[in-house]
Formats: sequence, C-alpha cells, structure tokens
Amino acid sequence: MKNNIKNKIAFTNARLIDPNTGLDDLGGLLIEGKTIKAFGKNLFNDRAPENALEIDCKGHILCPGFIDINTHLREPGEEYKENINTASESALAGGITSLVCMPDTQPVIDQIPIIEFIKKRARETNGVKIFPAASITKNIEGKQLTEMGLLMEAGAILFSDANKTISNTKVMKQALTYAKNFGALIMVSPQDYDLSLNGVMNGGALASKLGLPGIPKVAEIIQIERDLRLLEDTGGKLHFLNITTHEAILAIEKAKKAGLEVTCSTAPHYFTLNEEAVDEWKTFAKVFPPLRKEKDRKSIYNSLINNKIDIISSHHSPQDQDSKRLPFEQAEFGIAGLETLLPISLDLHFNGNMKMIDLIDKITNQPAKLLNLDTGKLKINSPADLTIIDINNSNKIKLEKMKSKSKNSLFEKYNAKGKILCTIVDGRIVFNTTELKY
Amino acid sequence: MHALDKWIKEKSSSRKKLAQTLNISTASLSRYLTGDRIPKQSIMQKIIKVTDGNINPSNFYNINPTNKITNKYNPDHLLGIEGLKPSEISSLLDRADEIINENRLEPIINHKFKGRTLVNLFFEDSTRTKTSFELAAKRLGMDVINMQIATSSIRKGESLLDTAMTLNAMKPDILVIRHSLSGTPHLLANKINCAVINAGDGQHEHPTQALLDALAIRRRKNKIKGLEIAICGDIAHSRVARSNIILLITMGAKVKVIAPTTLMPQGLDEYGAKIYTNMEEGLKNTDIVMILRLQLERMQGSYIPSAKEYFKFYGLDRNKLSFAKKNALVMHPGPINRGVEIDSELADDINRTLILEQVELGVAIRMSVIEHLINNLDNKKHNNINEK
Repeated sequence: MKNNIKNKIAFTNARLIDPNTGLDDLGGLLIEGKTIKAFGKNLFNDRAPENALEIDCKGHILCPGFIDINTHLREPGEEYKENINTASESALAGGITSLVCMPDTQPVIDQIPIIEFIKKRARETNGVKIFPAASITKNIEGKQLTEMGLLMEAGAILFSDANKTISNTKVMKQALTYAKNFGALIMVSPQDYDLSLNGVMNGGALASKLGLPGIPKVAEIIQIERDLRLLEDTGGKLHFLNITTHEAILAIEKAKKAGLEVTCSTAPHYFTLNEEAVDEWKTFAKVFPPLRKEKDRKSIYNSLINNKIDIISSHHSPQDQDSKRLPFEQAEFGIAGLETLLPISLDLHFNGNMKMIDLIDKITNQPAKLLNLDTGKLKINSPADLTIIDINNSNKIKLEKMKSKSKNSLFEKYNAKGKILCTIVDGRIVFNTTELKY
Repeated sequence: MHALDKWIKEKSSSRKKLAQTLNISTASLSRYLTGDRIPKQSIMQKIIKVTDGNINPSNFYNINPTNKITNKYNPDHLLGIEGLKPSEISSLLDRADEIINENRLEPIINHKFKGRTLVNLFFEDSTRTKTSFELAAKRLGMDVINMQIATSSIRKGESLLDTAMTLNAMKPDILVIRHSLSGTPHLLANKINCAVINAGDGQHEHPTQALLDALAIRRRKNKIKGLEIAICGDIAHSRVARSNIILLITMGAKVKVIAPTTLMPQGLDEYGAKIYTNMEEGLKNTDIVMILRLQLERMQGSYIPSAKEYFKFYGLDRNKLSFAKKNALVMHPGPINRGVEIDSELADDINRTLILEQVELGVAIRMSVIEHLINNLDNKKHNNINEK
C-alpha cells in the first residue's frame, strides 16, 4: 500500500491550510513524484485525474507536514530509550515530517563522522526527515568551539548545546560571533548554570514543601538577558528554546522590537501544565527547564496566541522506565512529546480561540523559516511533505499506543482532540489510519 | 468476663483501686484484662498475693482480645506529618505517654509483637534514630534487622526499588527508611506491602522527630495549643524543621521561624509560620525555643560566611534566651554543634533544656507509631479475610 505505483496522488475534498500564504480553503492538491504539482480551490472540480491515486480528505485539514526543531533521538548511545527508527515512527504518527535532532547523544554530535552516521541512519530508516544539530562546544562542555564551518558542510543545520548552558560568557560571545561567518543559527535552552545547578523542579513554595532543590525563574530570565546583550553586541541569529517564564517573553519581545535576529519557542507541557503536576514526586513531571507556576503557564499560553512566541516544539525527551522509577532527584529529565505535539497544542485553538492557520504556522511555516528549509509550506515544486488531520476527533491519549520506544508522557488518559490521519514525506504515504481509504 | 474482673466485683473494689495496690497504671491493668498483655512475673506474684491465690497465671493466658483495637491513626504508613489530622497526632502522642508511664518504672519487654519484624533501612548515617527504632521494636518483642547499606547490594548497583522489593518478599511488618533524597519513602510505600515509616527523607520530613518533640513539649507544658514556639537555624535544609512546623501548627501552636535569609526556604508563610531574621525579636514571649543543627558544609560557601558570625547573631546563649519567657525551654534534635548554634554551657543546663529527654521520649514515640501501624496492618488483614 505504501508504494504508489501511479506516482501521482490527488487529494480531493481537503481543507487546505498554508500559513505561508494565508490559504485556508476547501480544495484539492496533486503530488507527482516527490513534489507538489498543483493545488487550489477548484483544482479537480471534485474529480481526481484518472491516472492518479485519489485520497478523499472528507473535508479534513491538509497542511504542510510539521517541523519539530527540538527532538532528542537518543541514538547514538542510548538506543534503549529511543532509536532513529522508533523516533521516526513516532514522529510520523504525530504528523511530523521533518525534525532537528539535538546533539546531546553519546558521543555528542560535534564531529563530522557523527553527522554522517545520523544521515546514514536516517536514509536507512527512510521515514521522517532528520536535520542534525551539532553542538556549539566540543562535547557540550562549554569550553571549545566546534568546527562550525566543516560541520555545516557535512550537514549540520544549526548549533546548540541542547539543555546545557554555556556558562562562560566569553565562550558564548565567541560562539555567536564565530557563527556569523557561516550565517549559522545558534539555539540555546536558557537557564543560568549556577542557579539551576542540582535543581530538579521550579524553585518556590512547592519545592520547599517537597524538600526538593529548586530552579528559580530568575535563572531563565538572567540567561536570556545575558544572551540578548551579547547578541546586541555581536549580531547573528539566536533562538531560545523552551521558554517557560513571563519575564523571558518580555525580554525577547523588547529585543525583537530593537531589531535583533532573535526567535523563541516553547513546548506543549509548558503551556498546558504547571508545577502542580509534580504532585508527590511524580518523576514524569520532571522536565528541564521545570514546569512553572500557573501564572507563567498562562503567560506562555497567551504569548502563543498573541504571536510573541514563534514556534512550538515537541521537546521530545524519551526516558526508559528505569530512568524514571527513581527518587525524584535521581530521575532523568524529560517528556516524550512527538505524538502529543498536535493534540495538546490544539487546546490553543479550541479553548484559546487561536485560528487553526496560526497554530499550524507555529509548527510548519515558522520553523521552516527559522531553519531556511524548502518545506513546511504548500508550494508548487516544493517537497510533498504533508499531513492530514482531523481536529474534531476526540480520544484519550493512550500510552500503550504510542510508537515512541519510551512512553514517559504526562498526558496519559488526557482528553485531547485531534488525530493525525495521514502523513506524507516526499510524496510517499508513510503513515495512515483506517479513516482514509484509498 | 475476666476472672480478675469477677474478683474485683465480688470484693466491691474497682480496677483503679486494684491498680493502686499493685502499683501499676490502670491502663496497664486493663491491658492485662483484655489479653493484650501478660503481667510479668513480679506483678503476677503481687496479683496472686492480693487475691489470696484466687487468681493464678493461667487466668491471663489464652484470652482472645475481645475488643478490637480501634486506632485513631488510620494511615497505613507514617510518611510525613503533612496531611495528618490533630486526632491522629494526638493518638500517637497519647499512646507514647502511656508507654512512658509503664517504661519509666523499669524496662519491660512486651511480647505483644513477638515474631513480627522491623527492618531498619538506613541510607544515611544515623545513631540516635536508628538505635531508637531498634530499641522500640525490641521492647515490643519484635525481631529487628539492620540493613548495612555500605555492604549491601545497593553498592553492587542494585536499584533502590529492587532492594525494597527483595526486602518486601521477606515479609517484614515495618520498614523504617532514611534516605538522602526527598520522597524516597513515598516511592517505596507505593511498591511494597508492609508499613513504611519515614525516618528522614532528604530535606522533606522527619515525622517521628517532630512527634517526639511535640511529646516533650506536651509533657512539660501540658499542652501544645496556644504555645509560642520558635524554631531557629537552618530551616531551608532541615527536614526536622518542616515536620515540626507542620505538626505544631496543626496542633494549634503559634510557630515562629528565625533564620538568616539565606537559610530560609520560600513559601514558609503559606504554612502559617511567622518569619523573623532577628533572634531577639523572634524570641519575645516564646515558650519553647527549638534550635536546629547547622550542617558543617553550610558554614562554607554562600549560606553563611563563618561559624563565628553565625553564633554571634543566631547562636542561642543565655543573653538571647533572656528575651524569651522566663520559663522558656530549649530543645535540639541533636547532634549538637557546641558553640555554633547553641552555647555549650546552656546546652548542658538540664533545667532549661530538654535535649536528653528528647532522646528518651524518642523510644516511646516510635513504639507508639509501630503499635499503631501494626494494628492497622492486622485490622486490614482481618477485614480482607472477612470480605473473602
């Protein structure tokens, strides 16, 4: 079924959404080979061409495939948590057709052979498109810069030290400055090193009550303000991942207005849950940065609706059972998030009155722009990376149905709307459910 | 009716009078009568003598406890003070009080829980708490296993939960656990069948310490409600402080917390404690001064600059104590850093401090906790059988 011998697929009766052009209308779309050939309101006049495979979308949304800028694949090194095959299956089931994998693997993605390895594994897997991020500093130690130019030539899409912060201000300044030579994007998860050291949850009354060392809000704000000051001085492109605080958004907004090339993103758990999810040492709620107070959660939620946060990433951080079945302080950080990216984010549309096109923008067009990719949009001759979603299908999230190797999701039995019906990568149907027959 | 009760009736006496004659408490006597306990030999001889041989030892054996013990303490474990009701705390304290009244005469071994097992699982060094639990269990006739963590499988890489499951398979009745990480006893309690007692977890809680402190206060001041109690020292890193603050506020005391700002945790006011950074101010009108141990590692680095400075402003001496009420008492969970958090000579003043008394009461409170938990365990089994 997965091989389409006709080489052409005609999607009829679709609600086409393309945030890049602002299109949101019923119509059809034709793909030929690996690319989009045509699309529009009256493309087929409700009848597919004879020589194409027809897929009746039944009025469901057909939009660009999602692009996730923050995935931890765990391969190489921790294949017992996740590998490229399982992550790919998980991503495709979540409607994600492209992803950036974080370099905090073992070994770290800081050399050309590791990039080559990931590219090779991605080719073998032949599923989701994988764009490796290389580390900013060797072995993510925050000391020596990596060979950014060579790594980019080999295929590094951007540079990031993943969840680790470069605590040495001079190294960070040099990284931003040096990256400019290659127009490289620097991506950081901002959290002051010393203030967050040993911390395991949001600092405050609840952490005191549970007897856990906290990570204060100010750790995030300080780091963002430092890096923005540096960026002001050096120029270059900077992206902040995992924004969790109200003040961080204010700082970034100000910098954007001042003309700095800065963008930011957050993940579904940061606008859906607050620190109360930790409850009594629930290790599934241990994430880095930590879940904050309700006030911050709301602020993140509203900032997405007000377009102050550019992108939603999955922050997919699979952890096996043994890494979570430990006392809270010893347990690993992370939530598996590829498959819940859309269902959880849809709350913004249903309860936050965010337009569907604006929501899809944050997981397709915006990340494509950030990464300079020729996907994430409906455009003739662009790769046919597409997703069909039924946003009204409500079902409970079931962990056992998740395709990720690790099922450390906090959203078990969560009543979520939205179901991915079909995912297409380079014109191939790589994921589909029984709802759509063809 | 127990033969001894019949004898009392015939003689138109009362349990109270008989208890006085035997020089035991009425509570003890009634326990003999319900079969919960068997009089030890010296008492037994007295009973035979008083009743002119009408009552003999055989009257005390093979009595099925008639009235099922009804606990006011309902939880299956003791994981923390938080969430306990005042009546539950009182029940634990009342029983400890009775135990003291019996113990103080001379140590007796009560075979009530013969054959039952208590496991001491200590992942942190401890002298007083571990010994105290061991002694408490032994006085109840229990078998005690002390897990030496340094030599156990934990060092061989066995996971905490696997160790707990292994212990659980040996079917102990009580597992006492101390761990340097908060929430560990709760994690174990979810996975195993026996009753878990938290003997201190990270910076979270140390419930039996708070209970024994409350007992010490109640015995000296005859109440807890309405007392003004100051807790001074490293509040931020102290599990003793957390348990005490919650317990004392639950029992109606006015709690004041005195510490330098770097050692004060966030959110204390949410518990209802008043916060002070100045000893003289905070100690005013205080009935009880609880001094906490300052961990040596906090004396370097960014918490406080030196022990000298700490003692000058936050160490308890007679001068600072003079700001409290005249009859104010001083408590310390031990071990003491003399000349750091408390003046050495003041620490030794038995008229003002309860430090050694606290240790003594520790055994009684732990006996009370063990009794309550085993009773709950038995009641649960009993109910399960009935349901089947």
